[in-house]
Amino acid sequence: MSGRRTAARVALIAVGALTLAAVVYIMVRRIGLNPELDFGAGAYYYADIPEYEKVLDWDTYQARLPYWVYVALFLAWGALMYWLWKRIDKHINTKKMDKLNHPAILVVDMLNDFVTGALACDRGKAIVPATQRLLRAAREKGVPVIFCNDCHLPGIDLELKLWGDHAIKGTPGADVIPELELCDKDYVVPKRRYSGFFQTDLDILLKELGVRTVIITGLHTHMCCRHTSADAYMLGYDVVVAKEATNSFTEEDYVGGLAYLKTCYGADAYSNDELIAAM
Amino acid sequence: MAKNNNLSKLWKTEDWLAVWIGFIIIAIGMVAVLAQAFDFSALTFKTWSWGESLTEAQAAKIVPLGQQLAAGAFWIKLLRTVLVLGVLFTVGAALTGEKVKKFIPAFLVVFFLSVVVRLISAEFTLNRYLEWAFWALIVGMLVSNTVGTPKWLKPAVKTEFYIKTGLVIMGFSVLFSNIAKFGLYGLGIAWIVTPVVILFMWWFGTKVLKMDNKPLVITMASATSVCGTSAAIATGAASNCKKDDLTMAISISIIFTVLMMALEPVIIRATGMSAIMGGALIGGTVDSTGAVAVAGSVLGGEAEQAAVLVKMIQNILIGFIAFFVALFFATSVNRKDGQKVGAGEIWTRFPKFIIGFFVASLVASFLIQPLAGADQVKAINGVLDQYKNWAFVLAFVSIGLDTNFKDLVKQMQGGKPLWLYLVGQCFNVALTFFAVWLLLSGVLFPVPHLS
Repeated sequence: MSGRRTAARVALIAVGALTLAAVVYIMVRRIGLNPELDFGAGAYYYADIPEYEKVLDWDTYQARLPYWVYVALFLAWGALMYWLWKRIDKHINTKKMDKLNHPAILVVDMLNDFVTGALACDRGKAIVPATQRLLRAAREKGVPVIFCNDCHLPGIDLELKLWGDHAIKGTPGADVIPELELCDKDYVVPKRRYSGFFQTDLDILLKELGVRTVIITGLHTHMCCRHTSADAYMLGYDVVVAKEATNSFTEEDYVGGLAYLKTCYGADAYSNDELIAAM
Repeated sequence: MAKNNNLSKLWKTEDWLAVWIGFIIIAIGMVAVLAQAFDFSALTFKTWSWGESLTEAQAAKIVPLGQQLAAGAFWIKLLRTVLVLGVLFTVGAALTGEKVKKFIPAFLVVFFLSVVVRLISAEFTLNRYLEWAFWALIVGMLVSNTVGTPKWLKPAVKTEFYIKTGLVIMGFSVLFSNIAKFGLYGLGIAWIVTPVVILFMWWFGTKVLKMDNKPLVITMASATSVCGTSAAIATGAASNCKKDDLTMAISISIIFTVLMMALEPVIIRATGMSAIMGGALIGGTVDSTGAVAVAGSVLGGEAEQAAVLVKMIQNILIGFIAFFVALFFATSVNRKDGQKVGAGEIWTRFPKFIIGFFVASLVASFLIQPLAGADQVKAINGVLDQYKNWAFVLAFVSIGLDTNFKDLVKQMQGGKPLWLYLVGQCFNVALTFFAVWLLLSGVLFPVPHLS
């Protein structure tokens, strides 16, 4: 590596020195000038050329087509190139993922109370189709799907004081929403705090399943997903986020949540397409 | 909140003030020329020499420095230039919150340095190869890296303000009618190739070289593919690049332009290419307009015409490219992960001076040119061009005053900008050659006749 770096540095110095030497030689010998013209490379723009009218004001070519045809072609090509630029940039910025290393999907709090009940929010409903698609693909590919569900004890759990009663053990509000088609192949880990790991058997489950990478989905990006990611990271798992299958009450919380996961746990956010391709 | 309301931005932000100052200078220039009411021309130095041996033709164009300084008109023009720019920039700076008492002496010193720069860059040999951008950076950096830029000078070190104003003035010379000057041949060589080279360099810079500094990549790309320094200034401002990025892009472009100007005609002649093909190749690949005209003329009249026709179309491209670069950076690059950019946000981020630049261009192309005639527009641009240059020289002196050699070395990023330029320029030459061969060799299309 350091050999390559030295070679690159030597090449850079050689090219730079040769170029400068050539430029000085050209200037000293006044190569490439036209004695008739009172300007040179330093006239950067057409209006900078002394008496530029004489140099540029030629009608040397008679264009055959009407002017608007050229304008239309000019604009059309410009628009096409701009579109292409956006596409290329998007492609470059799309992180190419290697195959995920022994992944499992953690579905955090996609429960009736969170989506349609006590803590209902539209942004929660909005991610249901994307989550459904991701889980179906995972089950097809044999990737474990693990539901980390709030399962609170009424009158005891700390969080209930902050958020009010929700996802109480044994109530329909604590059930996984039907759209996600909980099945026998899936796993359910009840939890009483934000994190899916805290005082639960999630860690031992993941270890026995041989999981090395957790894909975080569900609600809310900046709360339960964040705390679950924190524990996963601290326990040595790789963390990635399914950005189409997680959300928060507000856009700000969602964006901030993703940024926090990236900064603190190195959790890159991927689209469903990218994740499915890498599972 | 009144301080930050939308309307007050029109006269309190640098972006908008640059637009108004540019428009005022354009308006005065128009009145001066159209009504022939008064002389508004700014100071320029005529070519002088410090004793090089010159041919008779060259010597005929030399005006000794002493003779220039002894003329009364010189001092009147100097006074006019410093008054016009001084008053407008002082008012602008005051509106952005700068103290007038502190701004005026600082501006006068930066202006004095700019006069020195223009004096140096009017010297016979230096004028033909490097000119003001290079010398402005050198003079500014000599001050900042030796005695250091004094604190009291800082109020007038306003690179962006000067650049944006200069660009709005330049907008008036971007004439759309010229895009049809070389018909489909010109569009094919200039307009088909240029954006493809930009896209290639964007890909190469960000993907292959892994350069995180995207404004530097786009500034280098447009300097290489469009028209060197002037394009770098416009896209650099549109992408909000750092001062060091602009310095880097322009220095590389200027140095290689000298090489290409001298070598390209020799190589073209050696290959036996036709004059029109060689000229168009030079027009599409040599960066600065002056170098294109000189290199083309070495191959003869027809080559010079073809070269300049192609370059002229590229000169118009600056406006479009700067506009789309500004739009691209407002909508894509500055976005955080997952964040969607709404129309309001795009408007907030979009550099307003580009609007001024575009309006000036549209007014010149579709209002003044049809009404007053092309000759009058040329006369107006003859006057405005010098104000544009003064604004740019002030900007480049400011960059130099703000630049640390150490930062500049860091900016080299192990030579990535140089490799980007070299690879991009090779791609540019190859693609332009392909377009020139396709359109002008007579293989597929009839060879155009340049009278």
